[in-house]
Amino acid sequence: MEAVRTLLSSLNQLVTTTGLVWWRCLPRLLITAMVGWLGYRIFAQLAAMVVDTSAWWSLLLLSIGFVVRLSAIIIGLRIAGEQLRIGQSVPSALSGPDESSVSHLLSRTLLPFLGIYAVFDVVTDAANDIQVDYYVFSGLTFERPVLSQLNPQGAGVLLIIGVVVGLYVARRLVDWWFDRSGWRPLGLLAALIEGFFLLIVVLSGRQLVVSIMQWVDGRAFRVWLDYPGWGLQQLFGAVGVDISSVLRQLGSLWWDVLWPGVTAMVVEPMLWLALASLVFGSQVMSAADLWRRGRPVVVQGRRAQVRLGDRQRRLALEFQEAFFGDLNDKYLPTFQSLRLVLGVGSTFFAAFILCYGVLTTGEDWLRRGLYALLGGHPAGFWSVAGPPIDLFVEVLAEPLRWVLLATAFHACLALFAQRGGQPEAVADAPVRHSDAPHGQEALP
Amino acid sequence: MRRLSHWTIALLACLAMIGLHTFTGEAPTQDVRAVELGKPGRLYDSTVTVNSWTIGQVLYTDEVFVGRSGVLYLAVNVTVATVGPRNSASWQVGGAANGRTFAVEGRLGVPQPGFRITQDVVFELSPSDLAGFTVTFLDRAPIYAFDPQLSVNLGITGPRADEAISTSRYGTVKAVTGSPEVIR
Repeated sequence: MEAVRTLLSSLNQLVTTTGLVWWRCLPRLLITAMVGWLGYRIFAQLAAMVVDTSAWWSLLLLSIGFVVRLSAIIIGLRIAGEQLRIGQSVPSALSGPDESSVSHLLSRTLLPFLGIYAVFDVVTDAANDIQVDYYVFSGLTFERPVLSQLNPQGAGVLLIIGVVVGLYVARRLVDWWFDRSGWRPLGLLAALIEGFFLLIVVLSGRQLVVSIMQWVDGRAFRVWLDYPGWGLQQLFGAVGVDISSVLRQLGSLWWDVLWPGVTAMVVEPMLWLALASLVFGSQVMSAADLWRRGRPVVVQGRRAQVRLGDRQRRLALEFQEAFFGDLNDKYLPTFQSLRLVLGVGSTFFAAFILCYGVLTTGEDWLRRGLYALLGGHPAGFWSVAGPPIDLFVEVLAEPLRWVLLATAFHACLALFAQRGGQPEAVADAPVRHSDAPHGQEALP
Repeated sequence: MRRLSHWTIALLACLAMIGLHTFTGEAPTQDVRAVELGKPGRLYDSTVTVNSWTIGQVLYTDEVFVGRSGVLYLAVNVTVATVGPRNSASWQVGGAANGRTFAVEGRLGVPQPGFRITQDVVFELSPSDLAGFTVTFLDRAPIYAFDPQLSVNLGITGPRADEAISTSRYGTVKAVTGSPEVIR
């Protein structure tokens, strides 16, 4: 009974606060959502128009579109965060003027953002939309598969690897330049390069995995992998059980029914909440944090341990920044954010999942309702009518999602405070007054 | 115990949302419109009218003469008229009853613009699937989109299905291919 009461209380808190904050910030949120949608659509349409010239240009424009969309999400989350005064309750590691800038947040959140989009096929769908828009503009043709240039088999693996490595080096150089000069447009340029880089990795990587799987399927040793299955079949066949049929049905139940629901309704909201916590600046612990706290880098050999002292520290830090900068900037914060939101408690987790699920389903039903209202039409009609429908639905749903995420994150912080301590990640790395960089607020 | 109840609540919430997601399903790629028997329905440049239906255990057409026990053939008489400037080659005709779907035997003839064809489309089904049988017509556009689809309920209620089976169960269905006529 107590669990139900807690759930209802969390639900009440999430729904009422979300509604209230949404209403108070409505004009700013609507404008942000509209500008974000418009920016993305413009670049997506341009991508469809230039795809005939070069798929690389098309992908570059699409990645700019994604960066615009992410910028809108970050701004929307910050608007809701301001209203909720999250900045005052977060012992933020990102409270320095440079680190809380949109360009820095863009660079920090691009990886999880495109990661979420890649996991839920949004990137692939966007690429498919480009192809459909191209067909609508130029007529249906099967002679020129427009995005085949991004297929390693079509473009050449070496070319794609060269582009990926080149973009990585270019981005690190721009990052370095940005760190030295502090000139904001450079930060944005770095984010754009990174968006392009990640999009190529996502799209080409997918094709590469398919190619590897096809190669494996064509090899003789592939048959060896079937032996355990055949053995099981024989074993269960002896007792009259068709194990392949049972496994097929179980696989179908899991992959066709349960797994899509788990990813869309459980994994997706948690990932978005983790992304929101990155934007609001949960105190994340990176390898550099460990270093600042005075723990020496220990290179462990098989027969001996070599301890690096103060003299080598600078050199080691330079090396770390050059090769593991991304690990510190993106992967660890993402991982820590995920740990943070997963550690908040089961009842709150349930309330958040319910709110997010209802919002997502409502958005889906609204879109379907509008499509059904207009009735069936050919693709040419939908290429004109589709965008306004998307705009209407997105302008309604996206601000609500941003506010829900901000409210949920704020509630997470309140819950951690109620427990009388800090979340695990914070507790492991408490910030003392003497250690706090950039005037960072110390924890009470 | 207290912790267990909290985790049970979380699990139930997850299951509820997974259930909601499964119930909602994938967004449809066609807009289904119900049309009554005998009334025309529009699909892009064509109209479709389902005129009547007959059943039997033996199927007799220009191409086949076949009889099979345990099943029955349902011939649905349809008039397809191309009233617009183009005729489509990517029609999909199907049937549905008791949650099962049925493929049509053979192909639907679609006439040139300005013509119409009255023909039979034939389904092979179990006698228990006759009641509530629905025929669907979809004219899939070249570029996959949210296309219109017609769903025609043949109006076969349980008693009517029983009556048809008792009178025509062992009859012969003569399915016509039809020839184009000018729309006047």
